[in-house]
This record gives sequence, C-alpha cells and structure tokens, in this order.
Amino acid sequence: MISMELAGIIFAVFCISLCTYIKNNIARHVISIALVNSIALLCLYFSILNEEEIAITLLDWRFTEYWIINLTTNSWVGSHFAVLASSLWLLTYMYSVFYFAKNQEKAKDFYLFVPISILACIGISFAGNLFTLFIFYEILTFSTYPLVVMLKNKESYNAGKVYLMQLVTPSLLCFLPVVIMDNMETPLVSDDLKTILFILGITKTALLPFNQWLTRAMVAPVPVSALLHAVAVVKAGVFSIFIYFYLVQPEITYITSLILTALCLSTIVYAGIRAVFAVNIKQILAFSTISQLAIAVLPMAVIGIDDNLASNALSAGIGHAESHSIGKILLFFIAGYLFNAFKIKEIYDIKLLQRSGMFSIIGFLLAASSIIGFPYTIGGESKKQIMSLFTEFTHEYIAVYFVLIFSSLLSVFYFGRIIYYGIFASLKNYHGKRQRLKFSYLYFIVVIILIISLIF
Amino acid sequence: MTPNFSIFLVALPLVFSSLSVILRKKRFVSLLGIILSLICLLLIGKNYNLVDGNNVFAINLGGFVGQTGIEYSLDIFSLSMLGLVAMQFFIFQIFAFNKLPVEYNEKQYYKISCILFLLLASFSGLAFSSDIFNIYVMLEVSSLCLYCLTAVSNKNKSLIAAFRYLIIGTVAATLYLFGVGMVYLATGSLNLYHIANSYNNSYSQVFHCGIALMIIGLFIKAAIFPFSNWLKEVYANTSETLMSFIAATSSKLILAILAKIIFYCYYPFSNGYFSYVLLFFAILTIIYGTFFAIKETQYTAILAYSSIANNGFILALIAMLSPYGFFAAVFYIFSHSLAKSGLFMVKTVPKDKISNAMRILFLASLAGVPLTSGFIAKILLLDSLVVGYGLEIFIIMLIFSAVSLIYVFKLYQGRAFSDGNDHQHSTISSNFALLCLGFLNIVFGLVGGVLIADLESFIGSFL
Repeated sequence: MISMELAGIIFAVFCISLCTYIKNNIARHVISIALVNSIALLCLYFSILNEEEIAITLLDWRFTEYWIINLTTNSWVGSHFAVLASSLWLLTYMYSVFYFAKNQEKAKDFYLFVPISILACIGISFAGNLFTLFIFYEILTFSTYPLVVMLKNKESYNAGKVYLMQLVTPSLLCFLPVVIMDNMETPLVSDDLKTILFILGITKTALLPFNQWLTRAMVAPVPVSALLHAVAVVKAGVFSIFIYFYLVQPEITYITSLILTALCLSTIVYAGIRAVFAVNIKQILAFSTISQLAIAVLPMAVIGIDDNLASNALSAGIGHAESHSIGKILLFFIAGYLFNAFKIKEIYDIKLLQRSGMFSIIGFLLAASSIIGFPYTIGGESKKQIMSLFTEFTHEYIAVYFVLIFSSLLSVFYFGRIIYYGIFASLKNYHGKRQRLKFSYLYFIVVIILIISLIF
Repeated sequence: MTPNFSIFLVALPLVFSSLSVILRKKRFVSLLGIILSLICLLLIGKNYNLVDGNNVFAINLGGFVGQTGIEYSLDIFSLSMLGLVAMQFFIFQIFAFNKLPVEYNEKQYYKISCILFLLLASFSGLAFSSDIFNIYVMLEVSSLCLYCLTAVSNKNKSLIAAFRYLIIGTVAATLYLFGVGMVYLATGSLNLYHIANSYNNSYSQVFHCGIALMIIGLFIKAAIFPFSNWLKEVYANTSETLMSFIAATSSKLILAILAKIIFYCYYPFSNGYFSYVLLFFAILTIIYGTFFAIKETQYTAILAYSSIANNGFILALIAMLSPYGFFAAVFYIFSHSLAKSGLFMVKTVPKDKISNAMRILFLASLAGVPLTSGFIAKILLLDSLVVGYGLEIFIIMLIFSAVSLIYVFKLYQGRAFSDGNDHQHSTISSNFALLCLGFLNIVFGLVGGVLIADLESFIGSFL
C-alpha cells in the first residue's frame, strides 16, 4: 500500500517539473503549490505511520543482498528530514513566486530542478541502506548544479566548478569505499576508519577541509541559496551522517570520537571568525551555516562511545538541524527581500534601508536570535540539548562548552552588526527620497509562518 | 532455426558490400546498411535463446571438423560481443543516414559504405571466430578497413595518421601471426577450444613464447600502455561520425579476443605472476591515459586518452582471471562503448536541446554517475577489484576513477563554451539515434546484467 503513496510522491514531483511548461503563470503556481502541499502532507503521513517497510529492488539482478535500492519508512531519523524538506519547499516555492515575479522566464531552471533535488532529499531520508543513500546523494549533487549556475555568467560557472569538484570527488574517494566495504562479509577496515572516511566523504556538511563550495555557491539567486543552504543540500549532508549512525551503528573508539570532536570544533571556530570579517550579507549567512552545521554534527562524536546516549544524541542533532533550517531560511528570505527591494548586498548598504523594510529587520532579529540561541526560541532549546548531552563527559569534552559559548558570542557579533546597521544607522543616515514598496502578501505570509514556528 | 544460420553475420555484410558497389545510389546504399544491421540484430536475437547457460555451438565451415577447419563458435560471450557490434552498427547507420553522404561526396559515398560493410563483416568474424588464424585474417581485414577510413577523412593530417596507423598495425599483426605460428608448432592446433587439450609439455617454451607474442600484438592493437601513442592520432584525425562506430567497437573487440585467448587456452598453464604482469600494464595504461587526458585540450584527443584509460580498466578486470572480474569486464566494455560512441556523435551535431541533454547523459555515463550504466560498471569494477586484489589496488583504481572526473568536466566545459560546428544541421535520423543511445545508456544499467548473467558460469567452466 505504502509503495503507492511513494509512487504518488514521485509522480507529483514530476508533475511539478512538467508544470514549468504551463504558460499561464497563476495556474502554474496554484497547481504547483497544491502539489507541493500534498507531498508535504504525504511525508508527514509517513512520519506518523512509521511502521511498514518497502523495498524497491531495482538492481537485484546481480547484487542480491546489498546492491538494491531499498526505501524504508520506519526510520524516525529520516522521516524528520522528509517532513522538513518538503514543508520548507512549500514556503520556498511561495517565496520564489514573489521573488521571481518580474522575470519568470529566467526562473525556469529553478522550477524544473528544485523538484528533482527535493525528490533526492526524500530518497535520502527514506534510504534503507548505504547504497540507496549514495545514489540519492549523488542525484542531489547533480540536480542542484544547474541551480548553482542558474545566472549563467562566468562567476557562476566557476562557482559551479568548485561545487562539483568539492562535492563529487570526496564522495567518490571516501563515501563510495564505505558503501562497498560495508557490504563485505569479512570487514577489511575497522569501524573507526569507516566512520572517519564517511564523514570526510559527506562534504555536503561543509566540515573543515571542504567548505569553499558553500560560500562560492552564494552567487545563485536567493531562493536557490535558501533552499540549498538551509534545506536541501547541507541538511542532506547532515542527515546522511545521522542516517549512517542510525543504520550502521558503528562502534567507535575514544580516539576517533576526539578526532571528530576536534574536526567539528575547529570548523565552528573557523567559520565563526570568517563570518565576523565578511561584509557580504549572503557570505555572512553562509559562514554562519557552516558553523551551525558543525554544531549539529557534534553530538555524533559521542554516539559510538556510549550506546545509551545514541537516541539522545541523534535527537539533539536532528533538533539543531531543524531549528537551524527554519531560522536560516527566514534569514535568507529577508536578505533576498532586502536585495530585491533596495539592492542591498553588503552590510554597509543597509544604511539605505527605508522604513518599509523595518518589518523585515524585525523578522531578521528574531531569526538571528534563534540561531544565536536565546531562550524560548527553538534554536536555544536545541543548543541546550546538545550542551546537556556533554554533561556526562565534563572533563574530557570541556572544550565543547567553551567553543559553543564562543560561537554564540561570535554570532551575536556578526548578526548584531547587520541589525545595528539596519535599525539605527539607516534611520540616521537616510537622505534620499522615500519610495514605498508594493506590499507582497506572499512574502508577509511566509515570514509570519516562519516567525511563529521559531517560538518554542 | 539452427545456429548455423549465424554464419550469415559474416557472409551477409560481405555480400552487401559488393551490392553497394553495384547499386551506387546514395539512398539504396544507406537503406542497405539499415537492412543489414536489422538482419544481424534479428539473427543474434534468434540465437540468444539457444546459448543460454554454458552451451557452445560449433559451426564448421565447409564441413571440416575441429582442428583442421575454420570453426566459428556461438556461446554467450561471442554472442554478446556480436550483439554489441550489431547494435552499434545499427545506431551508427541511423545516425549517419543523412550525415555521412553530406560529409563525403554523395557520389563517392558507396565506397565508404562498402568499406563499412567489410568492417562489419570482419568485426563479426572477430567476435565469434574460434580459430586463431582466422582471427588474424579478420584482424587484418578490419585493420585495412580502418586504415582506409582514416585516410579518407577530411582532416588535415588524416593521411599521415593513416600511414602511421598502417605501420603500427602491421607490426602488431605480424607479432600476432608469429605467435599463432608458434602456438601451432607447439600444439598442432589452431582452435581456441582445442589448444589447451593438445598442449605438449616438451614444447612448453615455444607455446609460452607464442602466447606472449599474440598478447603483445593484441596489446598494440588495444593501445595498452607502451604502445598507446598511435590511438590519439587516429582518433583526432578521423571523421567523428565514423569514429562513433570505430571507437565503440574496435579496441573493445580486441580486448574481448585477448580475454578469449587468456581464458580459453592459456589459463591452465599460467603461473601466479601472469595476473600481476597484466595488472602492471593495466595500471600503467590507466595512469598514462588519465594523465594525458587531463593535459590534453582537444575534444577528440581527450576522448582518445580516456579510451586508453578505460581499456586499462578493462584489462585490469580481465587480469583478475576470475569469473566475477570477467563479467565486470564485459559489462564495462558495453557501458563504455555506449557512452563513447555517443560522445563522438554529439560532437558532430549542432547544439540544441536534445544534443545537449544527451551529451550530459553520455558524459555522466563516462564518469559513472548514478542511474547510468557507467555507474553500475564502476560499482562492479570497484567491487570485483576489492574482492580480487584487496585494498591496495582498489584504492589506486578508486583514485584514478575519481581523477577521471577532471577530464569529463573538461569535456563538458569545452563543449559548453565553444561555438564549434553550428554549420552542421541535425536531422530526424541523427536525433533518433542519439535518443536511442541515451535510452540504452540508462536501460543497459538496469537490464544488461540479466542479459549477460550467464557469462560468469560460462567462464567459470574454463577455470
């Protein structure tokens, strides 16, 4: 029965892709939004149902036991991601209607490839084995490449090159061996090496050696950045790691755990400091994303040491990934609105902001406070969970506390800079003539929904 | 229908090549090609049901049995190779239906077509001949056709390239012939299936030497490392339309013959080092091909070097001397052949939606992106390598298959930014051929394994 609904999702996604060719704008958007909504509801249904297992055996002609595409709905880790991706896709779609209102023709790629990438995300979230995970991971990489180079200028092609290089090469060199070796009857390498290889291979999480692709890919239009960097790509990376720990349940030693912790902590600090010195708003958001992703991966470092912690650590990681998604997508939407309306690209340009932008700045303030981790926001709650996870290991992982607090302080600084320029400097320095922007209901609705969901 | 009918796979192209000289009209000749390839596909499809499992059907030409006469044998391996050739020829004929007559003088087109039919005859003969001297004859016929096709291409250095190709090809054929002579001296047999049985220990050195000479001859033809210089020149100086057929079949068939000689007659007498000798050359070939493909800037030259590197991968799989490796090698041959012919085809059509989409698909298949046949070939490659050789070789291969992404990306960008050949016009037939090939590139990954699944047990019966 469930396979029918899964087929329904696939069918709906292709329908949305095909909707790109409908000439009438309003009809296209209404149909698409309805379909996206139904997909989100189906994903929600799966996550509630949570019991049956489906195995789609596409490739069972040769690799009987292992090399099959196996989709399962009983992984609670994955269903979180499916719900997150599909529901935020709905909001992004609504936002993109407002964002691309003037040039619908240019946005064809967006409407064509976003459904495919979300389909890949849903595939990742329901993956029943590492082979399936790998296939959908790669599909996601290649279906988002056209989105990164959407503007089709030289800068975006260069960014696309970096994007492909840094995502595909490590996944082939590190991820694929793990997939192959996981199926061996007599294991060739230990769980520790496998885990480290896997985390190095999933460069979508933007951990330290390979994270230039994320900042370079900011050349894309805002809805693409929002979807890529808040929902689809980076979250696919983070959830791939969660799913790996959920499926394989590797037993890692203390040394490996320390290595992973060090990797995450160094990424947090590095990205935070880079964000402080960046001036382009999108770059600041990108570096903030890198830093927050590393925080979300951090609980995985202790998961293998103590089995009792496994489900706590997973839920802490998932919680942080989700709260970050909601906060970051709101930040991107607002940054996109500022750019679209006032041509604001760098923080110094925010001085040009007018009163009509004040609603946006308040939304920005709320989203930023969630990401910083203020109490009574989802971001604060998820950070609290992660912190409490490490209480069991106070002496060994004392650095974690310092780094988390330090990163919060850094984010106070870099978000505070934007808000300062937005609220105070804009009022003081404004000299030009005031022009009122056309009020957009879609933008308003999207921002309000996100703000409500920020509150814990 | 008896398997004996399959001799028409060689005979019909010979007849049709003379027919094309008689008919001469462009339309007739083009139609002849399509009819011929359809008949070949039909014959192969009819015979496919017969050879399931380990069945081998021997076809004795002229009624001479066994060791004295020429014998063609139909088994799952030779049939799959025949299928590859016929399928590629069919797609090529559709693709070239309007294109090739325009590229050459329309009145001279029948000559090209005549040579192409001869080439098909010799390739079919190569695919299922089990007589090593007959294989030599077919090698020579196919090589002569290839020299001609290189020489008549409208490129600057075609004649020089053809001449060099002639020299190196003759050297290779001569080495192979010496080898055949020595093997015949040592065993008194020319039949692939009988050589192992009639092996005489007192002539062992002659036998080993003969096999070595044959293998070296085939190495030269398949452009394995120390002898791989010629390939680039030929690829770059032959018409791309013709290359879409030649590149997809010629060196792959040579590797198939190499596999036949190694598995059918040499395996029982090889010692433990033999596998590693082959592997050594394979790795050198991979390094050479990949390195120069990255360094090169010209489209066809990159394709040539990538062919060399992929031949190295196939040789590494053959060198494993195991059924699983052999199965993976044949699968790899198929998937690479499908991708390579497509890449040559898209070079000759203007940039439109279909050609762009297909180009990306072929490149994805060459790189091994999921959902293409190339991905499953790569998975099979890596999986069998880690089973066969262990971790070290696996890591080397993994690195080189990842490095190959660089030149794939170069191919993609080179096409994306150069305006290239907009004066050529696409036709319905060429678009249809491209779509066919793209379809096969995806579908073969899903069903190809089922089609050639018997190969493993078939080769296992020799080991």
